[in-house]
Amino acid sequence: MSTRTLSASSSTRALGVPCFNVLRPITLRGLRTKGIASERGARGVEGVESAEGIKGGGPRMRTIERMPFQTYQLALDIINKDRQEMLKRISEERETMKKLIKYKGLTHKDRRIISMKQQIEKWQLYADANNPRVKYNFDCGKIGMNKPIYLHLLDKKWRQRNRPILMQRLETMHVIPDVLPDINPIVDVRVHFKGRKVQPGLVLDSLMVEECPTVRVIPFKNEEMLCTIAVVDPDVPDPKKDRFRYRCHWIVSNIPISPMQTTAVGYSAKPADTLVPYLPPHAQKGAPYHRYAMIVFKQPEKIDAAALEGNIDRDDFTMRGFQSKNKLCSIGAFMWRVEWDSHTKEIMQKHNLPGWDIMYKRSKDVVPS
Amino acid sequence: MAKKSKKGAPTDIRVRLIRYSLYHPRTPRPLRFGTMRMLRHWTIHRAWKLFQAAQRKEREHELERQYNKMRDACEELRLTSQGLYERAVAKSTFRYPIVEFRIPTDTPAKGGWNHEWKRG
Repeated sequence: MSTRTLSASSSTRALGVPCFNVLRPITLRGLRTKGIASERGARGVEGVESAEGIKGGGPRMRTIERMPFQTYQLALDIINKDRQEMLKRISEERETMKKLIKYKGLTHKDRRIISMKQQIEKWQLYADANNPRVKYNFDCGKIGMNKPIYLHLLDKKWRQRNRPILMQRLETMHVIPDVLPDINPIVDVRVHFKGRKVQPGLVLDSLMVEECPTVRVIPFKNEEMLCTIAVVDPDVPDPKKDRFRYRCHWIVSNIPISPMQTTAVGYSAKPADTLVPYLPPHAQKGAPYHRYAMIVFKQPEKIDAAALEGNIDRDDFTMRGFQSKNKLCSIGAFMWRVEWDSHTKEIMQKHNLPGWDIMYKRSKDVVPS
Repeated sequence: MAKKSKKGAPTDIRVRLIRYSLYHPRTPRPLRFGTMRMLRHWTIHRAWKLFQAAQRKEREHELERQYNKMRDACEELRLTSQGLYERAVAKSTFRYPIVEFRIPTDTPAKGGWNHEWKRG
């Protein structure tokens, strides 16, 4: 964006204001850019800031807070005043909480303390919600994942568009009644196959899904949790019993996830236990497309990987069973589809998957001779 | 062949009026703001909403204080003199003549008059 790289001095010269000492000392404390550890790997944020600092000569020109428009500056005054009130309210509430804990012996598990903490979090959001710099940062992509306001804005953006799309795809493809009875996605799950981002419900090429994907799980609460990812194929044809079976393709457990650590599986992920190694999705010829559902679970505590690793049978696997056995709570989902195409045969032969030479036909289409 | 003259249900006059004014050749075109202009617009909008909310809260607090005072005064009166209290609290029987009449208008309600309506 051109505004980001525009140096301070040139911008104020264009506005006709002398580009040295500051006219209005507006400081919005508490929302410092130094606290930002952006997920998108700096992108030269630090570089821009230091360049501006050197060029200005005097104090760093913060263009957003210093725009010389009267109504805008009055608006900033009102917002600042409201923010100070909010901060005062937060500190008062904190004092009351400390006194309650100290003198009345309430613990951190008490309902009253918990509700006070929730109210403090809400007020922290209100304090930063009207800040134009926060809005500008968020719109540019300079998101500090350790700040609750950015997580809140990310959550809002996800819930406005991408989450309804995901739910629509899950329900239209009937993944939700089939794989799990219902699901309430709380985290944003992003899947990249061979570096390319995938939309939920897309029909993918067998070559693209041959290797395990990079999965990003973005939680919107600032807590560390352990996650499990499981991929199941609910459309494995079973001609003997004339129905479809489930097959488990991939389970990874004990993945540490937090707003600062959003990559679950991939280049910058922390080590986790693979209970079931990745099996490439393959749909046999003649069969309709297979749906592949990836569910992200939250673990109550660390799962003993050694105990589970040998015991999971790929072909006798239900998501519901797995969930109840390990007391998991589903927090996110994703799905894609794969059908027979020109690469499936080679992939099935390469991985020694039986059935590459079988073609299915509907029993209705087979005329009995 | 008989010409089909029916065009389907006619659109609501209110929607037609909105479309007429929106797409009239003399209506100014929609504005498009640059990033900084939009940011300033957003900030001013947020500040105005904050200001309005504070004013509304102040008005409601004032009303609440007035109501509390009135209630306390009535309570005092009740404890002081029963007769005066009842006269003060009684509903007044004065009415201006038929307030519920509807004046003629260009766009009357679709439902017309609700014959089940009762005063009170």
